[in-house]
Amino acid sequence: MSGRGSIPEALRRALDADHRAVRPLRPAWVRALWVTLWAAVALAVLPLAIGMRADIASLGFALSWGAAVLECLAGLGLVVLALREAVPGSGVTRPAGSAALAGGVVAVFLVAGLSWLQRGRPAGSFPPAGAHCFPMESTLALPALALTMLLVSRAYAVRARWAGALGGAGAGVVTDGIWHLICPHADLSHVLVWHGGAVLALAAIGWLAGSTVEGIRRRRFRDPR
Amino acid sequence: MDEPPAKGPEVATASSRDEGLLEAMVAYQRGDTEAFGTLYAVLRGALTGYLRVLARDAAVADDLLQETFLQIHRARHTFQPPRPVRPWVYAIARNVFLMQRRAAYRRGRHETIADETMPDVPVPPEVESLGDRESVRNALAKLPEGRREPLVLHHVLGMSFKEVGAVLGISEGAAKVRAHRALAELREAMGVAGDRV
Repeated sequence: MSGRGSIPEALRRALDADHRAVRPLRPAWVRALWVTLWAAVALAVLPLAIGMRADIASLGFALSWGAAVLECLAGLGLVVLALREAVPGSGVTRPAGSAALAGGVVAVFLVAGLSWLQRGRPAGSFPPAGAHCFPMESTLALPALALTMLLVSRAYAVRARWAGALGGAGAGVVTDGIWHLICPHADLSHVLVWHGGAVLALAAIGWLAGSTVEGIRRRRFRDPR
Repeated sequence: MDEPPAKGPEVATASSRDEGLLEAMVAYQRGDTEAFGTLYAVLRGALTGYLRVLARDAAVADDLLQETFLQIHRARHTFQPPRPVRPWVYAIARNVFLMQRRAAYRRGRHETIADETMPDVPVPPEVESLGDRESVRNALAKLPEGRREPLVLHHVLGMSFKEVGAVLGISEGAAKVRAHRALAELREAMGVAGDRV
């Protein structure tokens, strides 16, 4: 049964060209520690560098730092799922992945809703004020997204677009957790439109990045026909 | 390349091979190319059968087999021991088939395959006795793709429903339902064919 005698010549040549030992990928949660490290540094630095929201004292510890950390953990959960998806045969099912994506968005809205209630339900406006939150949050999330996609591309995602969408949404939710400590707008419509929009936009960017990963692999693929 | 793929009864012992496959895979990751020979020898027959079921063209499937092993080689670092080897391998094979189908579509080769065609593939032992091999294959070809795959992976290639779900990206329960429905449809189709005869 063993031996290389039965292996076709072309395949044997490809093997001989690269037969070095490889280290198996670490579990998804271990690989996600890189993104966790980024999140921890960003959580510690960004609110101080940009400035805390003015009403942080009235929110209390649980609804400010506690909510931010919980949102970051929810986002990191999505990143872990994205990295699991990048290993053949260990991906998440579409219903489970969709539920996790929805859970990430719900976490954003839940934190916003509870903060809104705590702040005495300030009236919103339409169009919601504070459109700058959308580009700011999206831009700040890009390093986390890039890191996640780098980790995805180093594996072998059979559904790279799906992995990208999960990773993008994860990066968005992590960043929204940090931005929750910075954003001065307390009205719910602002968070629903600009913060929720940023998370969805990042999921879309992740999807596109996944398409690029798939495209690169397709170019390396030799169609036998 | 014209050798027939592995048949059902041969792969029924697949679970007993899993440990050997895992050992070979770990050795291969450590740079032992002889271990790749073992993997190739053990997996080739069953993979050919699976690719034939997917591609429904023996020549295409035989070509895809080589590409699958090439992708296995390139992705060998993504295998995480002690996870089972076969879901990882079959997920890659399935991806290779999907890439080939997409490439063919993009190049404008809309090769149409008649619904009733199916190359020489292993058939589920449960329906083997219901008719001749060709009519079983034809009935198998008429099944929707989404049901044919779980049926073949479980009833022919001997994978657990959990492993089938991992290959297809669906839940264990969904894999079980699809395979059972496919088997029922196959039995029904064979019964109809039998009545005609």
